[in-house]
Amino acid sequence: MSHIVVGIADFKFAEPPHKLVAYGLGSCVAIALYSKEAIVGSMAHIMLPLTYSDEKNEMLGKFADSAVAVMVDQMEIREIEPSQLVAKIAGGADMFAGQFKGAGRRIGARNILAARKVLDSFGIRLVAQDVGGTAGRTVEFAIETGLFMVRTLRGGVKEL
Amino acid sequence: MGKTPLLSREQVAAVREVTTIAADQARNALSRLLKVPVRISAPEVANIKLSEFPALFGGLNTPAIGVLVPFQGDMEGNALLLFPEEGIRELEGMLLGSSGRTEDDLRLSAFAEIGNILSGTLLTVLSRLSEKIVVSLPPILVQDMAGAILDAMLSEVGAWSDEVTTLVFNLTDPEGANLVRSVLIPGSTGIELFLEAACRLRTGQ
Repeated sequence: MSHIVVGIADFKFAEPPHKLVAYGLGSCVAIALYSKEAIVGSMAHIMLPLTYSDEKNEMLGKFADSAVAVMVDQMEIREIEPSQLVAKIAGGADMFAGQFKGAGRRIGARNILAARKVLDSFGIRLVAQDVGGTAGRTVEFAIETGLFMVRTLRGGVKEL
Repeated sequence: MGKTPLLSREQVAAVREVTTIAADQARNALSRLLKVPVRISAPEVANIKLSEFPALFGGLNTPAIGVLVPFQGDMEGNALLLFPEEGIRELEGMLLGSSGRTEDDLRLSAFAEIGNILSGTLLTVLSRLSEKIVVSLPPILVQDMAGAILDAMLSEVGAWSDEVTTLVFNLTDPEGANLVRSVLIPGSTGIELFLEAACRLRTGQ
């Protein structure tokens, strides 16, 4: 078994026995898609809600809309339809607790909202989430079981 | 680590030259505060893909204290002072006594003050060299996983581009223990200011 790290603005596909890991989610959101029947999964580490221009987006994992779209494409190549997938998400914290006044203000909340909307637009059921608050999270997604473990420094580990 | 050069080699050297001067002043300020000789690493100046940025730091899951100092004026951007776990222990011992045990508010305000001193010194030097106005805003302090602090900072700059120009240097104690990792993301206009400062420095204006 190996841990496959999903970096910021990236996405990865995996099969058992691998685990997908996103370290240190702040305002970013990890979006995991899982097929229980095919036992495959993918996870994106998005940092912004929606693709913001018509320019070619080279980092598909950066935005909630492009990340979910490309992960759905990867599943469809394997003949897995969106209706066969479930999603779990974590992250979207307000790390600076409302003190930050720059362009990135409340970006965590906007990322959460975008992730939910995009999943809904593909008809993918969101079955678990650990989002918001002011704490950073690390997520480990075990493809074998579909278990989505969320760790925070002060809150310990949650199994979703 | 793949880096896509947006700045020419000469420009990187010029930005590094200015950063070295500013960072050395910051080192002096911290040495005076701590009353111990603080060492500094050679500043790294690079254009880094967003996805590769946190990997520069390691220990993404470990506790850290971050002091984010936004700045405005002729240059806009953010300076982040990241105190890693070992740095927190060392600095608490130096500032608050050997046990390092004290009220949380007091220890956090001590780190905010260090952040203020370091970022203020950096920006003052840059402002003086470039003869431009750069004003730091009140620091924002956060305690969490190092990776999450970096992640939140990147979300601010992520809308600009898929790469960021970063200026990074470490301050260490005399034994080499890492006290502070300083990360400056100058923003879209900031690099021009660094280049102007370097130009004035070289021509003696």
